[in-house]
Amino acid sequence: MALRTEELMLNMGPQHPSTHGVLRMVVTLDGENVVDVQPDIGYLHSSVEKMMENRTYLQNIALVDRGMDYLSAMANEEVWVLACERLGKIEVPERARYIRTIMLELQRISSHLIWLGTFGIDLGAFTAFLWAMRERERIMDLFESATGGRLHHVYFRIGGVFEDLPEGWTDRCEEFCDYFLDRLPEYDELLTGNPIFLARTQGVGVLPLDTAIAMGASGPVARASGLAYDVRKAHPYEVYERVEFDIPVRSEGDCYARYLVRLEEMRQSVRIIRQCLERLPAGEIRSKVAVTLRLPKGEVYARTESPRGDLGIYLVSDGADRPYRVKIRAPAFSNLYALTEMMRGWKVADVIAILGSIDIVLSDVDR
Amino acid sequence: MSWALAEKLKAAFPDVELFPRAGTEPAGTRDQGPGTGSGEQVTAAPESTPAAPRRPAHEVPPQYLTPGVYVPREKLLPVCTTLAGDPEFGLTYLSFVSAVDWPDRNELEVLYHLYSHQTRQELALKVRIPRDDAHIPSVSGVWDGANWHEREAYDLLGITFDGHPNLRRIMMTDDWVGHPLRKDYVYQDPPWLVEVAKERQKDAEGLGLGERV
Repeated sequence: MALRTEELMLNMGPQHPSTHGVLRMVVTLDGENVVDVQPDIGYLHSSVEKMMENRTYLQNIALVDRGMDYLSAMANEEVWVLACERLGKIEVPERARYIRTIMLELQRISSHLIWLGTFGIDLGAFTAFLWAMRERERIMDLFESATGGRLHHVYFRIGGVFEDLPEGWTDRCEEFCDYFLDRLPEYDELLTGNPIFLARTQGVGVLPLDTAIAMGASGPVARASGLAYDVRKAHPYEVYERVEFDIPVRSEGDCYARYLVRLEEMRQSVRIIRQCLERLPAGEIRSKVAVTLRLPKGEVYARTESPRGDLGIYLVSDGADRPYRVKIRAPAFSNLYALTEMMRGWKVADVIAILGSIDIVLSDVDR
Repeated sequence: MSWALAEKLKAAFPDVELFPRAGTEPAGTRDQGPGTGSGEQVTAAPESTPAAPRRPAHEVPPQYLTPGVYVPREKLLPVCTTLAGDPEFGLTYLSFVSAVDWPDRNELEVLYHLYSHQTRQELALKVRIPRDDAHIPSVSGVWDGANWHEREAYDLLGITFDGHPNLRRIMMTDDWVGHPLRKDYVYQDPPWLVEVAKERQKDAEGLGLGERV
C-alpha cells in the first residue's frame, strides 16, 4: 500500500529571529522539501513616499535615513541628495564629493559586516557575529565623530556635506583600513574554508542569471549570479570614476557565491577609501543652497549602488518647496521577490540559509 | 543619458510621444503640471538656452532628465514585448513600476523604468490613464519582476492591472480603505479597528475609568 502524503503549510514569522525583521513566509512543504514559498511583506510599511511629499527637500534627508534601509543610512542620503542636485543642477565641491565617497564605502563595509554576522548566526556560527560587530564598532565610532550619529547621520546636504571632517579623522580612518585588512583573513579562516559552512551554502539556493535579471535582482545577489553590473562603474557618481576598484562577479549563483562577492566587496571598499583619503583635496564642503530650496519643475531618476543593490529615486517636482512625488526603487524589494525562485526544491533547513544570503532589510523592502 | 532608444521606439511605434526635452517647448497645455500657484522664482536656475529669457517658475516647462516616452494604454503590451524581446532594444531589466497622481487633470501617470545591462541605456515609459477608470494591462508576463511592483501600485495608488496573476494588497492590510499615495487620500480606520476601539472603550468604562481621550 502506498504511503499517503500531504503537503504541509508552515508559517514562519513575522516574529521569527531568522527572518531578519518582520517578514512572514508561508512555506508549503512536502515532507522536508520546499514546494513553494510566499513571502508576505508590509509589516514595516511606513509610507515614506507619502511622508516625503509633505516635507521640504532638506527635511527629507532626515526622513530617508530612517524610513528606508536603516543599516545603510548614508546610501539613502546619497541617492536623495543626488536626485535633488541633478534636478536643481546644483554643484558639489570637490572635497565634499570625496568625503561622501569615503562615507559611502565605510557604510558599505558596515552593512556587509552586519550581514556577515547575521548570516553566520543563521548557519550556527556565532563567532562571526561577534567579530563582525567588533569591526563595525570602529566604523560606528568614525561615523559618530564625523557626523554625530551612529546609525542615522543626516550628514549629506544638497550641495555638499554638513560639516568638515574633524581633526585627525583621516588618520583614524587610515588606521581602520589597516586594521580591517588585517582582520579580513580571519573570516577566511572562520568561514570560507569551514566544512559546515560550505556544506550549508555551496550549491544551495541557485539563482540563474536570466531569472535574476527578469526578476529585477541587483547588487551582490545579481553579481553572484554572473551579472557584471555595478552602478558605481556603469553610471559613476561622486568620484567613483576616478578611483580604481574591481567588481567581484561569480557565476555560481548560490549562497556561497553571494558570500564571496560581499567579502570581496569589502576589500574593494577599503581600496576605494584609501585612494580617496590620499587624494582628499582641501576646500569648501558645501555650496550655497537655500534652506527652503525650490527645485525647478521636472522629473529625474537617480540611481546609486547601495550595499544591497540598485537603489534609485524617481523624483517629480512641480516647482514647490517640497517634492510632488517620490518613488523609491528599493533593491531589497526586488531581491526578496526572487526568493521564491531560489528556495523551490530545497530543504526546510535551507530556507534560513537562502533568506540570510540575500541580505534583506525589511524597512527597505516595505518603506 | 541618450534619447536614442526613445527615438528608435518612436520610429517603430508612431503612436508613442517623446517626453518634452530640455530646452524645447511643451507640446500642449497638458504638460504644464499643476501647482501653478507659486509665482516666485525657483532658487536654482533651470537650464535653458542662453537666448531664452528667464521666466517665472510656473511658466518654465518641466524638464525630463530621464529619456522616456508616453505610451497609449492599448499599445502598452506590444511596446513592452518589443522593448524586452527585440535585441535592438534589449531592455530586459525593469527597475520599477509606479504611478504619479495628478488630480487636477483627473489623470494617473503609470510609470515604468527600464534598463539594459548590455547597452547601459535606460528608458522611462509613461501611460496616462483617467483616475476614475484606472486599469491597465499587466506587464508581469513580460518582466516577471513587475509582479510585486504592480501589486504595490495597486495597493498604494488604486490601479488595476488586468491579467495580473495575484493582484492583492501588498503593503497595507487586506481590509484597508483607500489608496494612500493618491493625492486626495484621507485616512479612515479599517472596520476591524473601529470594532477593537469600541471593545476597548467598553472595557475602560467597565473599569470605571470613564471615557478615554
